[in-house]
Amino acid sequence: MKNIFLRHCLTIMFLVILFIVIPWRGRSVLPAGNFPFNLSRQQIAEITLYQNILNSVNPAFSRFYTNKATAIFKNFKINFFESFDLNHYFFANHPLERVGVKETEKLFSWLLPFFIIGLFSLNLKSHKPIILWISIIFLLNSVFSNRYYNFEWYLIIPFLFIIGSGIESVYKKIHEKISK
Amino acid sequence: MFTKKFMKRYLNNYFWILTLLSVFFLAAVIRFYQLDNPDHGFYLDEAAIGYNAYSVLKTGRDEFGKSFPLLFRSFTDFKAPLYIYLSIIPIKILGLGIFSTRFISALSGSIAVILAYFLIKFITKNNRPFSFLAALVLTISPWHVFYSRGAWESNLSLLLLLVATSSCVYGSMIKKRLVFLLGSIFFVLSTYAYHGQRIVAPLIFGFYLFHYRVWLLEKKKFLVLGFLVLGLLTIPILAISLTPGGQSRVKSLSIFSPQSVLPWQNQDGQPNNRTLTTLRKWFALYTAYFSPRNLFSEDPAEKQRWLPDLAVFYSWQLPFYLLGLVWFIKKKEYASSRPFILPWLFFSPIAASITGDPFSTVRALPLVFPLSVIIAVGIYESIIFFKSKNLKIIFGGVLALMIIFSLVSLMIQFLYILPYQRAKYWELGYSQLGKILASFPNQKIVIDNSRGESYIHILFFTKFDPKIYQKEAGYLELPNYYSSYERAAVKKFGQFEYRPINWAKEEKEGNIVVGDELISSRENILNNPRLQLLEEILYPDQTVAFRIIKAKNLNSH
Repeated sequence: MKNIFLRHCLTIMFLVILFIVIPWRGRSVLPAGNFPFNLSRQQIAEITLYQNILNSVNPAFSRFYTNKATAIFKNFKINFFESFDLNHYFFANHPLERVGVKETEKLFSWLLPFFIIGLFSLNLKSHKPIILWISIIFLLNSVFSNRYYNFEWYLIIPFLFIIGSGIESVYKKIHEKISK
Repeated sequence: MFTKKFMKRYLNNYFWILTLLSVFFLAAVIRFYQLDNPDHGFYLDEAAIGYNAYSVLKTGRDEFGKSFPLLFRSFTDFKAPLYIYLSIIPIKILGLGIFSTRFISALSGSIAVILAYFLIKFITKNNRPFSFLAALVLTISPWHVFYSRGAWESNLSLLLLLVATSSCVYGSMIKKRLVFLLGSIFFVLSTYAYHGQRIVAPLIFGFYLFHYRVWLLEKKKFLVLGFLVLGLLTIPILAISLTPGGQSRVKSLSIFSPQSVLPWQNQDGQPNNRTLTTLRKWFALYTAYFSPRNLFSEDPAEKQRWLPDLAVFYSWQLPFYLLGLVWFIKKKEYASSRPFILPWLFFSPIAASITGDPFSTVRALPLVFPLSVIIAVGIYESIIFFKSKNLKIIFGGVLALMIIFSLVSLMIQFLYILPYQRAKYWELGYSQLGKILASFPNQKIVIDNSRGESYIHILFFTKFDPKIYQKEAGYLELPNYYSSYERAAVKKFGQFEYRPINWAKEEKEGNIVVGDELISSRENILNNPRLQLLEEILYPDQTVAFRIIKAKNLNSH
């Protein structure tokens, strides 16, 4: 019991230190924000082009296959996947750096194994709040692109929690091996 | 009672055979439909594969006159040999063409689906619904379909890896070491099919050896004999791997080479240690192969080796991927499958991740199999999760709709969007060019060599006699076949000259000149009495692919 308490204390201390030293910083929101609902001229031109290409299949189908709604959905998807990417947090988005975006590192790369182990140690039922928290932030990021808005900063707490879980799992495994 | 039970079992078997046949039929239709349509493009690597197979068939030598090479020099990219040698069969039967060149890959893709079914069935101890789902996910996967619809060596090597794994698993199940040995031979064969498998195949096979070590060590004599056979089969590829040609891909692409550009150089707090940064870069490249962004979101940067609007899997499969990963790692039911699937999952991207490309779909192709299994786990467990029969039916219906929609989208991409959007990258127009040039049998034709390696398309589409080509142009690169990177920029074969355009010379000789839109503007040709525009070949967006111009010597009259 005492051992478990000590382990938790050490993990929390480590996470607090991490919180202080990690490069993940909040940044001011940039004024010009592109929403998925606002289609660019290029996107409108692409819709027309695709409709022209697919007119030979069927004009009604071409409008069903590519239209403003599909383009907006595509924008949502791009925003979502740009934030739903481990490399964005652990490798300053390498190898998929974006043109015109200053990519910054958020968490140290060496924390990634602990993060992955922590992810797998999450329990879908007992860790519902954490999973919900992360899901809400990712959904917000789908609307407010992380190129302009800084909602992903609120992921820092659940991410550190997951890293902490990973560290505890590793410690537990090592402790079990030594005890045997 | 016995008859009823027997009948039920018989009908059940019959049902699954029919289901499997339907999956195979679907896989074959998606992979073979309009495979030979020249308006969908034909890449230069495919042309090189086809023509070299044709050349070996006709003369026993490749385009450079090398007798039965172990690596095909081609554009000094030193292609793995197995696909080319196997393509000789369809080319012999069907003649040299787009279909016969792509046939081996499309067939490999169709067979891979069936093999995936049986492999999963073996390792899950006869779980047919799950095996069916895994095969279905692979059947409709844009990643697998894309590489089955082109002459890609990596697709053949994926099939060989599947055969190898199936044999090893089956051999261990029925306790027949000979079947296991057969599997290991296929592992070696896969390295003859694609360069990347020189890294991936030994890793997966090594893991299986370790996994079955107790059983294999029971008969040490057989083990020694097995290693002897494998050693003998590996010697040629090992020997050739030591030549500069064999190492060319590794040297030119590896992130560990001194020329490799490292990221994060201008960021604060980054260590300057090159080794550490390279290792970190490799780690980033490796994890990128599991990133949902790469797997489920389209990549607009990759023009030639990908579809314009689809990712390697469908976006709707993301939840099943995430749930599948968790369930596959955590659930006891999958404990027996993990030793077979996890090596595939972890080792498949190794070769690809040591190259600098952000997400090389061709090099990491074996990854499509374990990821399909993971997604299938997600779907299968979700079906089980719904307790009520009605919910199961609704879920199944939604799933069927998603699959139908995905298939329509996939075919639209292949048949309409890709040929339009990526015409340049897929080198449309060469087939038509070949036909047009064939109508000038007695004219000297000069092909501009300033962009691309178009000579191979000309050889392919005119079915140029390989014997004549080897004699007149191929020999130029024969000395130091495996060691030199020099490429003959100027070639002369038959009526064709592949060189820079010299208008004064062309006009003097009255040659036919072929080039892209930059060779000369339309206005310039029309305003020049010494030039006659014979034909323009256009891309689907009406931009110029080729101009065929007759240069005239006005002084001769």
